[in-house]
Amino acid sequence: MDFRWSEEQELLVQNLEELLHKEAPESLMAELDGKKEFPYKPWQALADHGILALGIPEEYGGVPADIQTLTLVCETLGEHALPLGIIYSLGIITIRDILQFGSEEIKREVLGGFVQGDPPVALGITEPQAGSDAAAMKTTATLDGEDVIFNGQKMYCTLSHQARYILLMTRDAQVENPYQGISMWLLPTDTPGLRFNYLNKVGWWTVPTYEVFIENVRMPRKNLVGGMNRGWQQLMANFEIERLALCAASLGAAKAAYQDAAAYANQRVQFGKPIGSYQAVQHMITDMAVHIENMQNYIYKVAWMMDQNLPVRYEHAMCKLYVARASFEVIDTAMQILGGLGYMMEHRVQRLWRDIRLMRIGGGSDEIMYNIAAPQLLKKASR
Amino acid sequence: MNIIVCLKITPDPEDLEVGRDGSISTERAEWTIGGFDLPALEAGVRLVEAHGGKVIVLCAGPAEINNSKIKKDILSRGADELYTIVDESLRHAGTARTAAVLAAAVQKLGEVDLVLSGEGSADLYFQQTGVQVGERLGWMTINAVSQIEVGANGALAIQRTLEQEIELLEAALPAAIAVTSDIHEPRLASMREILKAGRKPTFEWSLAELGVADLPETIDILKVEAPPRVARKQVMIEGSPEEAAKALLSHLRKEGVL
Amino acid sequence: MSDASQTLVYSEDENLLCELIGAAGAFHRPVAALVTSPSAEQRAAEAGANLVYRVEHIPAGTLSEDVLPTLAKLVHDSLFDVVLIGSTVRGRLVAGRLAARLNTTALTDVKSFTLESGSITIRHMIFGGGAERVERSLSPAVILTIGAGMFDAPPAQPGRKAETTPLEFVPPEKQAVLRERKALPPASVNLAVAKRVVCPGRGIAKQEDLAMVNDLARALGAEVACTRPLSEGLGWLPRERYIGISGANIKSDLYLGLGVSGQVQHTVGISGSRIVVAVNRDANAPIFEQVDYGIAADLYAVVPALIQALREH
Repeated sequence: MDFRWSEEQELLVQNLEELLHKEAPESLMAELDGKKEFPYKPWQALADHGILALGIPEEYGGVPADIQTLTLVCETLGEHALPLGIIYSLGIITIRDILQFGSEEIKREVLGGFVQGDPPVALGITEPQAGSDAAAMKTTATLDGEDVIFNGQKMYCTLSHQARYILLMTRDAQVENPYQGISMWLLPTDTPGLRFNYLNKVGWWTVPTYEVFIENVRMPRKNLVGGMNRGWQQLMANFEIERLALCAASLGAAKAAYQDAAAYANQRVQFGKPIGSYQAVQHMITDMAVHIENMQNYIYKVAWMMDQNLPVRYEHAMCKLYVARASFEVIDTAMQILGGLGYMMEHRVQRLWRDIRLMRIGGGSDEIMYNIAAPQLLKKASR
Repeated sequence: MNIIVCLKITPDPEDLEVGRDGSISTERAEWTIGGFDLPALEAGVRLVEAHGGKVIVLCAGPAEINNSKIKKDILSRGADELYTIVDESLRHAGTARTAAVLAAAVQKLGEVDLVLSGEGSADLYFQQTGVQVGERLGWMTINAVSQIEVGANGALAIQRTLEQEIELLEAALPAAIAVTSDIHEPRLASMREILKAGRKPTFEWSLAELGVADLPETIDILKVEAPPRVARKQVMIEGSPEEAAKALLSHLRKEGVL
Repeated sequence: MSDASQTLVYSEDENLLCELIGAAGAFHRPVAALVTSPSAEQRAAEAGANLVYRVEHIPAGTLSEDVLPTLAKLVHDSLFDVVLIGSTVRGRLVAGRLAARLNTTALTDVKSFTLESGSITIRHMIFGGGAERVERSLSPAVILTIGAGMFDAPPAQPGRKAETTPLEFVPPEKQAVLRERKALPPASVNLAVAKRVVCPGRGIAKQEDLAMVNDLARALGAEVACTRPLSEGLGWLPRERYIGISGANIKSDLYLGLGVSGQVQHTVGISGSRIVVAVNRDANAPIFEQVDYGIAADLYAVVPALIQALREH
């Protein structure tokens, strides 16, 4: 067992940290958050320095990278500029789906654009009545000669207005088993018939979310990604890595909050002593550090398993469940240590606190993670 | 155009530890590429990108410089080849001996048009080695260069930043140039370059291979210690911001500095 | 080093040349100056140089560094064993090239030096001011560079003459061609002479917040300086405003650091200030170990309170 990073990984993180220090400083991220703006410039900087190329094959302008390396990138982004980590993680699933199932033409177009700095492809899955029960979706795709016509509505479609494409999931009502009747399409966001309704949310202000209305949207059939009615299986193929990436970004955010809290505990003097000298605060600091260490170990292990092509049927769900809650707890405790200061809109910890809460809901809620893990655990025990 | 860039790998001055007795230790310091030297590498890489040729990096120092991560770091920033000259006697060498060693390496490499060095080393900042190398080679030698271009006649068009003026000079090759730290911002390496760095050639030379094993040392280091501290009053002012502000101003008036 | 030998001083900067003559006085031996102009010849004589070597027939378009072969020949022919050179950009080039020709090390930016039993021991800063190193030269000829303001020039003796020896200019084998010379835009500030200095550090969160710092500086009648990251990293303030090892050294009555942590690379530049004050949220910041007055509180609360209190007074 070797917990050391490779020299290449260390250099990558060093360079990325320097890049973020320059192109995505805390002052800029705070400003963009206040304006609720997508971080176009920092995102472009990531593209310009080849970060977005990682994990994409060389023939599409990419640079090979294993999952451990991608995880380190997400963690670093999360620590220095959490929204970039979130956006990057959201991109991982759609980009991988396209890479794995898209036609050559689609791959060249989408992957080439992503490497150059396009925002990630948005994922159109959730519908008003189909959230965790994604198979209950109703958006339809009707074939019409060489074309296909979409009708329906997507909910919580994050980045759909910024993205050039939505990876749209549609349901063929003719097929009885919903998991056998879902298809995946690459839908350009400038196609006539699409309407976007901005949704206000508690956090993720620089990662905007929309409700998308789809009315008689016509598109060539060749924009089908993968096989007809194979969409669900295709989607499931890359959920694990998205969850892992979100975990790594959350870990980074927790580290940032921990640093703020620990520094404050050392410098804030109350009743004549730094608050870090009080046992109550010392326990908080230690509990935070234990959580961070555990998150790190869990995430790196799952990443390693995936790199070894070992199955992660329930490990990824348990990891996500733990990290979503532990990172929230660390950041919440950081706010407690910072007191009134951490609750002020000027402090980054309030932003991390608002942003991190969604990790227990998005990318599969805590409850779904239990649903994935428990049956597998029990099955294993019954053997 | 073949360019040699001299880089000094040193203990990170940020990691300097000062003991209570004023002693200085770099034992736990991480070794890094000098921050004033990286702009020289960037200048060399840009010249080669524009005019062809290759960038060869030359580092001299004790065994700590044989650090494969630092080597990859250097090579990921655009250098084509790396030569290290490793000898324990270089740890505390005077600039005369370091310059003689580097000059011998430049001569052994041959077919070099330009030797670049940074403004000063990160640890000592004597701003001497680069110009001494140039003079030992008998080349055109200039310091404080803030811009380098290749003119139509093949000579260098150089901008030099002095205390109160800028000089535009023309200098024939071969030349040795020490650049300013703001000549270029050093580039960040992408993963593609980092991965490539591990496959680039590196070489190690001993002093004997360069024929400079027995150079006399010109300095004897007697002592390294923390600078004397100015005694200060160290009065900490408590209270609300308003109270503290008033108290401070009253102290400053008594001191007669307002 | 024999007592019969002399010390040679050279700087193209006439004020610094006089300071070098002052510094060379410590050897209690005759001091010779190498000069390239009548005004420098006069300044050197009035500062007490015993002998002046005046370089003649310098071709037009010659850079002052091109004096090197003439200097090297003089050192060689007249067996000078100590050469003091002014530590300017040009001086450092001349010193390095001369050192290479003499196969020795130039001891740079010397803070102090002593001559004991025939060998010279010097002290200078290393590690960005974090340490000082004491070195003894093992060379028969010693080259020292000395920065402006390190030693006092002797009081000028108007009308004093020195024995002058004309020297023929030795043309260099290789010469850069001067195409143009432009004055740098005048520095917006000379921190070295500022009476009061307000210095923001990394505790300032946003560039806009410098407005508050400027207000305080105006109320105090102070110049605004900064730490290196605010200038070279963030570019919020011009380079001439940063204090520290590769920046300015101040000799003010008052230094007020705002959100300055106190890294040695910075504090080496404030040690000449008479009173040092710091405001920093971090009660453990190293800056508080070297202040006269410290306030461990949020500068965003203290600075407006200071401005208010100054206005009320």
